[in-house]
Amino acid sequence: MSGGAIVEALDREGLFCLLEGGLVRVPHLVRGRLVAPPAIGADEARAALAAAGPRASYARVAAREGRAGAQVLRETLVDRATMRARAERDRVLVLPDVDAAALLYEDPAAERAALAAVPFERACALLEDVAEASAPEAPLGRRLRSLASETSGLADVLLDAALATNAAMLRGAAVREVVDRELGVGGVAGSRFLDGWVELDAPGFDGPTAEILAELERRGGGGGPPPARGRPALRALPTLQIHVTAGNAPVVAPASAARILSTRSGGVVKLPSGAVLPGAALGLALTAAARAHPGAAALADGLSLVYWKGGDGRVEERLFEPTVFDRVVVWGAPDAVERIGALAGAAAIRTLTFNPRYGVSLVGREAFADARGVGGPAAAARRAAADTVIWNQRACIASLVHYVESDEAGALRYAEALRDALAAADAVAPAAPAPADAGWIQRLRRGALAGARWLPVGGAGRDLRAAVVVVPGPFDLEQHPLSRLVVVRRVDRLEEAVALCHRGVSTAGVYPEARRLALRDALAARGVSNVLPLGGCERAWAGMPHDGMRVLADLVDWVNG
Amino acid sequence: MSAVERIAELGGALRAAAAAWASGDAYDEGEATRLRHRAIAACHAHYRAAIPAYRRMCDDAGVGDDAGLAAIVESCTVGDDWFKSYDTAWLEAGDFGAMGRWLGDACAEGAAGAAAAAGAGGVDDWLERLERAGVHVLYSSGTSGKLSFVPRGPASWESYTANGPSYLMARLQRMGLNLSEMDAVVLGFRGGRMGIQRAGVEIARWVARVEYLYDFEIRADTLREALRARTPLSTGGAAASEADGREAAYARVLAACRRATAAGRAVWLFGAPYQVKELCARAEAARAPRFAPGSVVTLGGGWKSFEGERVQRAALAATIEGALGVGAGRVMEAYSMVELNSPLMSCEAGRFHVPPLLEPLVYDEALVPLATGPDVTGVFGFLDATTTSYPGFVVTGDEVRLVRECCPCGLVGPAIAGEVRRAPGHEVRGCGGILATVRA
Repeated sequence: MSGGAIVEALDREGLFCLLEGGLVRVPHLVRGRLVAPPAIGADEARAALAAAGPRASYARVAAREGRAGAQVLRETLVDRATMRARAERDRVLVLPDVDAAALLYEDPAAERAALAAVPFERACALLEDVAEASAPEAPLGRRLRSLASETSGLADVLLDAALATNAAMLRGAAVREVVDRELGVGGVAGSRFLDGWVELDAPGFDGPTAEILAELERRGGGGGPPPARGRPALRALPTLQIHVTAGNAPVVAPASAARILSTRSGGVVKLPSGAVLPGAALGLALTAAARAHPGAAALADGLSLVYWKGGDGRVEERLFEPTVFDRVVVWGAPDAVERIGALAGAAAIRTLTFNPRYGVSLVGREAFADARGVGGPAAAARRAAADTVIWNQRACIASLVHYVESDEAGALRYAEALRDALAAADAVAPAAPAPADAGWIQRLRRGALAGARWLPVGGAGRDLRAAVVVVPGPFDLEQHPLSRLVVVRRVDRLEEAVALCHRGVSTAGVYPEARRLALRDALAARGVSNVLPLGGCERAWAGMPHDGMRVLADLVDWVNG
Repeated sequence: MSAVERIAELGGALRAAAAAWASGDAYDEGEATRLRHRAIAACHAHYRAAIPAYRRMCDDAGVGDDAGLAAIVESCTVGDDWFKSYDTAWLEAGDFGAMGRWLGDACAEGAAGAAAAAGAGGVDDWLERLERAGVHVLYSSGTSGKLSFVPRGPASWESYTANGPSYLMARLQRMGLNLSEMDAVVLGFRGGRMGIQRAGVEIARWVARVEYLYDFEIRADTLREALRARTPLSTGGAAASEADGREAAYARVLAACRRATAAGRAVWLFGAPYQVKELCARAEAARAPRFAPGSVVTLGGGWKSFEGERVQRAALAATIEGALGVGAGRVMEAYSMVELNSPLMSCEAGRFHVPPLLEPLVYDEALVPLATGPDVTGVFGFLDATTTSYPGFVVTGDEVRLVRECCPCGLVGPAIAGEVRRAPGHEVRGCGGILATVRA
């Protein structure tokens, strides 16, 4: 189906397009089949939200005779010029109810076997077409962009990058690159382990029973052929996975889906509130592309992309079925990590957790003497600003705290340079705190951080767009609003900042390079997963570990054969 | 006349207005409003002069000495975290010099803070030294275990102790209470500086006998230790069996209630809603006799971390009537906090009435003030124009519905209608999320 035809079909069905009353009907992908929400009008959807309570952002519409139930999400519109929420302007997404039973597999072993039988080359061809259909310039990509931009807090430059990334990571060549690197063993490309048994050039060692068997053979008269002692063989078999994703960036759910698809596995991706649409668009592109790839149909048939409200026992208590699922992946928010971890743990399903983490910047005293930082530490501040605004500071690698090796006057000079850099960043990629975050920042200014030195960007109070806060002592990370607010702490030596790092720190950006190389081992020893040059903390490479894990390698079953 | 004296004088006039408001005699709402606004302006100028952190906050927002009410409301209210904006490490290290400097930055009591710091041997010792220097410090605790310290010099303390009685006595008189003939049961500690305890301590001054759920003074060090360890409190501050300690304590207060009832004496029961609910359950289980006629129940402190046990006010009133025999008309609830000099008391119609001493405010989630209207819902704030030791302009963490209409009870002016709830929490945001125990 061509890109234009996908969108025309959606328009005919009244799906994935803006309808009267600010309503968007969003289909789920359930085991390769698109499930459309029931025909519910904007008035009924808004009435359900009103009944759920003042300012409710989620409601359910009960099923009734001849009509399935639905879920309703309220999303606040954003003024793209100012990136501020438009008071009292919103839209509602209507999604199908989730039937947990429909997400399970009647015969998990048969499902895994069918997935394993899909040649990797065919999988890549399918994903290439999915990428093509969902690319930003394709009709579906343009539709997604149009819908997502209405409510996204990401500036155009960030939103466009996110949507382009979502498509690019599904390109056949990209998938192959990642798989070959991340599943590769002993110099053998990873995709070969997906396609079949690979004999490894590895020495084998007999266990103690070899002697016993030899003795048994002697006593029994011997003569039988010894067990095969050929080269060991290894294969990466698909698994069935549940991914509970976070909505801090629009790339998270598609990235989870890409991990399922690129390991040729099956599973369920729980789409996050606030970023439902990119996942739904992926489902639309996948079903359209799958028609041209019958040899890879098992991939589409094995995947579900659905939203349910976190904690919904009707879904979660049924879904975490250990006889069906082999892996659970949970991202982000602590309540989700705790809840899903408990569900998966109780079911004894192997779980990969991307815990809540944050980034820091370590700025050495060389920043103040750097020839490029004419008039002060401007060069370091610009780089640190770039590491700060990663997904508007909501990514777990985004820098929240900057440790500056200087005296108090130097820390203030750095803070001023950083304020200027954040102001410049606001011109390039504008952002404004969401109302609740703006309120929280005000509370910090007028409460816990009353004694700190505040350097606002855009003005104090309701005009504030970002801020730098020079704090005299430790800061409770719990209180960080993740809205382009940087906490600056002065240290006498960067080693003091290293001592403040721990496993909760995902990423440290260090300046200058010589100091990074000198501190790299110490930071790694404290549990920091990425020790990177300041300004380069978002840079990635195919097969890069995530939170200290080779994730794809954990998402397949390695079988000795 | 100094600024503090001027504010104290205006506070006295406001108390007189509050007394008239409560009794319904010759109350001029317009005049009270003008008086309050004058006091607010005087407080604002005083805070700017005497509280450096307040001045910095105003300067950042471009708010000068002669700001109008709208600018003060928008930019000069402080959050409850203002009172715990010190570094916990100072307390851990016994650095009361730093605490004193904090009192001088966030509050107007730097001189007393500096004087009390020398030689202080612990938090309680420091607080006692402050008291000897004329500064009463009350504190409250959150679930984080970090205490909010609210200092009151002589003028602010006078307002704290006098504001409430100025308008509450009329209510007590209408209820026909004869305090000197009553027994009090306070579901709290015998003493200490916890803000929530003060009402019980004040009640105890007026009644014949008083029984405390915990018959010892709560000390800040003990409280901090217990909060850190999440252990129940006992006299020594050491961990004790929660079941043992609470069982015995409730048994003792129930016995006191029985004695009062047997002697025909009315009881004034004071406690947090979850405590009163528990006492009711225990009284019913023990088939305790109902309180004597004339008894009253006062609820204060909200549900706090017992939110899961919350019942609607009417349901709790029914429980109280069923278990203790005290009718809904004699169940009062106070809405207060340690930063507030003037508690809001609920009326028979279930509304918390705002006395003329306070300017009530409502904010949206972005902390932008909402326009005054007959019925506005949002985050509650207030301008308390009778505090001189700290900024009395506070935005709370409570969500309320503020109405402005004549109440069936007869009181005029603004009132909080319905239940008070914590404002929707700061949503956990994505991958960076909450790192509750992490300091960086």
